[in-house]
Amino acid sequence: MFDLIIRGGEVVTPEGVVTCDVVVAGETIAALAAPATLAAESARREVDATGHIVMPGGIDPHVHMHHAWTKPDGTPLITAGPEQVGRAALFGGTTTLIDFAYWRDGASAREAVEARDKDFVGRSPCDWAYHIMLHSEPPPEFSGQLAEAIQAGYPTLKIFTTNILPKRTGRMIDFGDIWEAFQVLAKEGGLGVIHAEDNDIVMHMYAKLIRENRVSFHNLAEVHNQLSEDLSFRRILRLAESVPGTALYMMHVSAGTGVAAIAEARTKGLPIYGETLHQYLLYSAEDYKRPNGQIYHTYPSLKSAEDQKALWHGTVSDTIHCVATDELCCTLKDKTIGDRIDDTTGGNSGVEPRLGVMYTEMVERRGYSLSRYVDLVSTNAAKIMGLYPRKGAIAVGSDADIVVLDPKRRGKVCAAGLHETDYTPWEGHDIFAWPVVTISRGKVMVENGQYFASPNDGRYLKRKMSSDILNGAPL
Amino acid sequence: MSFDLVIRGGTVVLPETDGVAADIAISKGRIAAILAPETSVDARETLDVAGKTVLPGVIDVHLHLGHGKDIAQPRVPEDAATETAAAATGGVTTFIPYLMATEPFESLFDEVKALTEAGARIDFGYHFIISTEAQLAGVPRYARDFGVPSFKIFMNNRGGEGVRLGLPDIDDGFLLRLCEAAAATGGTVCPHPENIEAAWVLRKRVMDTDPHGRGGLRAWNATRPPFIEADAVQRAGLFARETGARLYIVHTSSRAALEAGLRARDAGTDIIIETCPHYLTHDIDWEGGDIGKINPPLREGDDCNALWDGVLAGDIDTVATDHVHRDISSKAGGIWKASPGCAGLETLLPVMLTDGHHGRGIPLGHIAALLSGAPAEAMGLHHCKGRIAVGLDADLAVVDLNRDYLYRREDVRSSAGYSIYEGRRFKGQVTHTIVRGRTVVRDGVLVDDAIGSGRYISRAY
Repeated sequence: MFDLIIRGGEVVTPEGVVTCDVVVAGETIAALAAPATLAAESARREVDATGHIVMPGGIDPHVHMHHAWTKPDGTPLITAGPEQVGRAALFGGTTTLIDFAYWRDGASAREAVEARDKDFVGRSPCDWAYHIMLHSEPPPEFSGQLAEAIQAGYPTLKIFTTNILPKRTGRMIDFGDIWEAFQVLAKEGGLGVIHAEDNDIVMHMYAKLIRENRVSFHNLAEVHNQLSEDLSFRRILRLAESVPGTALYMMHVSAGTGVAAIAEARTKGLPIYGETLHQYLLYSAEDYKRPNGQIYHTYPSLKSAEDQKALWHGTVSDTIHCVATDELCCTLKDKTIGDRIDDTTGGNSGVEPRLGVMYTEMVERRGYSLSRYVDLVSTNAAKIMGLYPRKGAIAVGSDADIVVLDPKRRGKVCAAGLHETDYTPWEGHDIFAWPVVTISRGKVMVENGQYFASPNDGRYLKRKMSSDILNGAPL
Repeated sequence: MSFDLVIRGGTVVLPETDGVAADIAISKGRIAAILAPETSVDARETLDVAGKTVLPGVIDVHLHLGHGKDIAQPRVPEDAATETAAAATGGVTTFIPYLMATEPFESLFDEVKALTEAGARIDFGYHFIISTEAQLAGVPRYARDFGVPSFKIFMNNRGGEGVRLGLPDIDDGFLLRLCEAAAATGGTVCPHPENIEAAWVLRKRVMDTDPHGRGGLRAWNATRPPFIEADAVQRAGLFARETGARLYIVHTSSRAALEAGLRARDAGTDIIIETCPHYLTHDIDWEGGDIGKINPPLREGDDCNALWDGVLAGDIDTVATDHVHRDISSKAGGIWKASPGCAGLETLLPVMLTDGHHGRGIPLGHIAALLSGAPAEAMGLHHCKGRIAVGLDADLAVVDLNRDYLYRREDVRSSAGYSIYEGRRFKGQVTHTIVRGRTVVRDGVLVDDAIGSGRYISRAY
């Protein structure tokens, strides 16, 4: 007796789109079967997916939940936690979120993970994992702890090359420490996940614009600019190249210069991967001028239409592999509370409409195959982050993380219809398909607008990098 | 409902994997379900393949069927019966022989198809070798009505060279028009690439100094060395790019020809590159001597290495046999008189498992792509064959990956009766071959009533 059969959908499998039934037993996929080969009485429950698209649950590899930010008046802002963000994610068809554990203040890597678990265990309806986020001036023993963490199932290390904002300290890692870290990553089979900006250029631009009294957030693209992305990407990629076997995932690529740097590295056969964010693909610095223009912003910054073009090209040329959100879920008031280049709230609200908006832009408007779309919102993240084929695949033995998209569910995004917060940067965006059923490890979490998940449902996902990814295989 | 057959306990080479634990359920000749191991379902028959590996059935897209001196076409059902026995023994579940004639193919196609179906244990298609104006005019019909969208041309058939095969001369103008016709129908051109005028010059020189062929394989290679092949590959690449035809380069035998093909690919030609197992495993120093006369000739060790590198790098897309089943008497009379070609159907998969997978670490997913997925795609079979996926034909090769065995002349199933691999040890033996859900080889033994169960497969892109 099976637990669930999803009948008759167009199923996006690793080998292409197939009309078939997906059969679930317990938490995993037990079978893919030709339509109607299995009798009705063979499963406890059926979902009719006729005329619908059946795909692996979305994976957002770049999310910040229950994250501390400082408002312009110096008071802390704690963003929405995994209960709220995970719920929105499930409504939008995303079943796995990767957040960050902060490795700082003399704590060990293990303590960093344990501390972060307090925000998640029993509070996360989605399955989740952490990138371990290194902070400035790590103690000398950090490389040994990093090696242990990689072997223990925490193989991704977040590294900043900038403090991002003038008043902030603690993020930027100097290149000596990065070099040490790369040697550990290469030896132990880890992955560096990189926020690269050229700190000198960025801080120079802050000083210059403040001096010229041009501090409005409308100028963010001048501060966090293309040159900064160019210089910083090339410097860190060159460092990676000098430590053979170093694999990197370049987060929130925002400029054509970043795409070009990754493309060059991949041409050399290096294991370098690229991520962009939903809004970098579709908004430009011009959109800062719209009412509440901060809602389109995430650090580094929106760039130009030309940069957008380069990012889109990256998605079809093995350069940009994932579309993430850099989620930082807060109210419109908190998102727009700062309006200067040095106090605008970062991050974004977007885990819920990500799959729907990207379906519109990729499948409907740009003619991408369903397989390519699924790669960009799910499968590639699973592969790069050491979760494949457990996650990111509708295949026998994989976790039954399954989303049913209804291509007749059309309309426009509106914040009131979402479950995230009181605003969305995608207000009014056309929708041509929307998730109607979300299943996570065999449990129906959302069906036709009803929510069945509990904050105890999520599990931490220990991960191990695949040798293909460490070798730079094409995706 | 109950399945016809469930194959349990194997490691299954699903697309994009190098093998995962799964069961396969089959109904009405097709893969009805991929199941997690030990999933309980009803089935009329269960095949336990614990410890074994299940690959998609091998698709050999390059061979010649027909006894004796005539390799143009099969003349009797036994041609198909013996050669599909060899194929099935080697895990081949579909093959596509080249059909050669001087008359338009309409006049013989039905008869050849019926004759092949009467003997075949596996599925088959046909490629047509286009040599006459009437055949060239038939290209759109062949693609549309016969399901034959792939066309061979002997670029070397000029100055009377085709007489040996009973074919008239063609020229580069004919090649150009075939490329145009193939492009217009969305078909594929498969040229036999040789610059024969240059080869004549070299042959005369070599034969003048070595009239009795004492130089053996080395002398044969010297009469049509790699640049003869590379020159034609380059020319075909230019013609295909100019006309928009898809090009399938058969039996790439040398570093020079491979490099010419890759240059064409870089320049934008839609080109698929095939090599044959014997060019990977044998060179001119092979001790078997004149038996190893093949056209193109066996090359030097460096060429073997270049071809393996090409396979490993993904530059070479397919491996096929160029199987010819003339018996060993055809190899008599010295290197100049010996007939070119060798049998290969039953050894293709064992060679790739032994030398490719075990010897060079080629993952099973890549082996399956070279022998099944890519040939199916290249020849318009991907709608029904080439992968283990729900809805496709249940064509499977079950292998015992670690079984080490000696391949002997008495093991040879092909009517050729000998093999260039006899006396070699293979690691990886086919235990079961399944064609559209029918078991045609069981525990290494041919199932006799499979004769005549093979079907002609109409192909399309």
